[in-house]
Amino acid sequence: MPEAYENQNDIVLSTRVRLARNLAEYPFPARLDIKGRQKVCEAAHAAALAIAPELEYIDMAELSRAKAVSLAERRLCSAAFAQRDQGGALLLRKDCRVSVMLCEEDHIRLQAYAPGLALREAWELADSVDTAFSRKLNFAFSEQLGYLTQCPTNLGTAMRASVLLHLPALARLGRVGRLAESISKLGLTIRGAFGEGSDAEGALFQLSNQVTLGITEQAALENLQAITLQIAEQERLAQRELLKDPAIENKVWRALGLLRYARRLDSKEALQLLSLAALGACGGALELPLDAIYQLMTDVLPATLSLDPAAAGDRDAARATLIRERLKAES
Amino acid sequence: MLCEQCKQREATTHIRRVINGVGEEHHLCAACAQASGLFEGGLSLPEFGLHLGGLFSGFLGESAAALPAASARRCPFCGSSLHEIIQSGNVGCAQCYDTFYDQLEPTLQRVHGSLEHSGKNPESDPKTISRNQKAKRLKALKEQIAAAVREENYEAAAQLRDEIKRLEGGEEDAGSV
Repeated sequence: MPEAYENQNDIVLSTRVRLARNLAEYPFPARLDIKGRQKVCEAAHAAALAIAPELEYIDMAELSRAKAVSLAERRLCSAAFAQRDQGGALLLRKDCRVSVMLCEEDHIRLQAYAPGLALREAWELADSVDTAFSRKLNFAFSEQLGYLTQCPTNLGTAMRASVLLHLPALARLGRVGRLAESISKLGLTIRGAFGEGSDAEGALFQLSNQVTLGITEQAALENLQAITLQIAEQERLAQRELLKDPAIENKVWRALGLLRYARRLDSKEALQLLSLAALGACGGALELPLDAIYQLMTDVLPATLSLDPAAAGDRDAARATLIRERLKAES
Repeated sequence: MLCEQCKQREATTHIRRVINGVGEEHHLCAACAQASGLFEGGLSLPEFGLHLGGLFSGFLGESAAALPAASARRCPFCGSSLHEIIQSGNVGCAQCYDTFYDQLEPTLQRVHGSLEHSGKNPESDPKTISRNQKAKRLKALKEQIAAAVREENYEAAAQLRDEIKRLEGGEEDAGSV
């Protein structure tokens, strides 16, 4: 077993806390035309300039498709938002710890990020930015129903806290489905990390709170924290169990071989191989820098990779080169 | 069972609807069901998708099965009708929650298991917001207390009276801060 990982970051890649807010003076985004949405964006932009000038304002209409999709791949905005052109904007802090989607499903969707399992840290960051915004903007709120949101499933705290989990062993043993069933009874939900209904490519899953009305932010975060710790422990046990199987151990080593020597890799294969290599690293079979592998699981995604000028020609070749260089340099 | 319309294909769509207490049933094949118009203007079939909004509209479609009167009403602020909200799974604006509260309530209860927010309050002008809300709630409570007294349900009336006292006390506090 390798040395203890900080913030459960052998299993938990990152934490995100998202708050949905709407301006009381405007209908929700689905009832607004482009002009209306632009007004909402402008109002939020003006507020941001006053309270958090470090947030860069990005008009989604002015972004190239690749840049927009890359934002979604790096989880800084939703996949649907990346497809948006007119009437949507993103406020983004340089270090990518705060991003604010304007006129996505709600007028404002404020997201704060932290590496590993750090719910309190992410919540405190989201909370402070939200409080600052609320001094400049008039948020739609009712004492009974809490923050009013376009989709009634978000009413109340309108907070969606989530952790990005790498669960290669539980996925391989077919235990994620059962896990999903039992945690849904606890007001949480788990799904593939690449969007609603997606397959869990690379065994990446997103675990988040589901219930938002009648439960405080703190209680929801504590719930999520407790369940995350339990899942992480289950995953570690499953990893040890799995790596005793010589067939799996062989797969892990073969994955490393391909990652180190392959000349062309598509993103699906790259994710699968990286996931296997991470499994080997977590279980102690491979000596590999896990953070570099997890970073690659984002950097090899098609749009993010295409932003690298070296990827202009053959993207699969560029992907293999990137992986080879990173794994050579890091080990 | 054969489709009651074309009497040729198997009936796969079974519709039971109750309008103002009068029930009727239809058994149709898919093609005739589509052509019947029974789903247009009325309430859409619940669609259970992975999207939460879709799920929500599915829930709502179920619970709002007999609301012809309410479906004509529109939100005075954004113009949404209940029908539009059900179809899209999206509420039109903040005020819709007031306008259609009675129709939305059973679904909200089912989705969240609770109808009382606990957690953060926005800091922008909390007093005005809470006063408006309290005024609204006080009005509703006073109507309920009058009804309870009329029905000689004194236990409920006493509970409502306590609730009103608590609210009015709370408002003084909020005003004095």
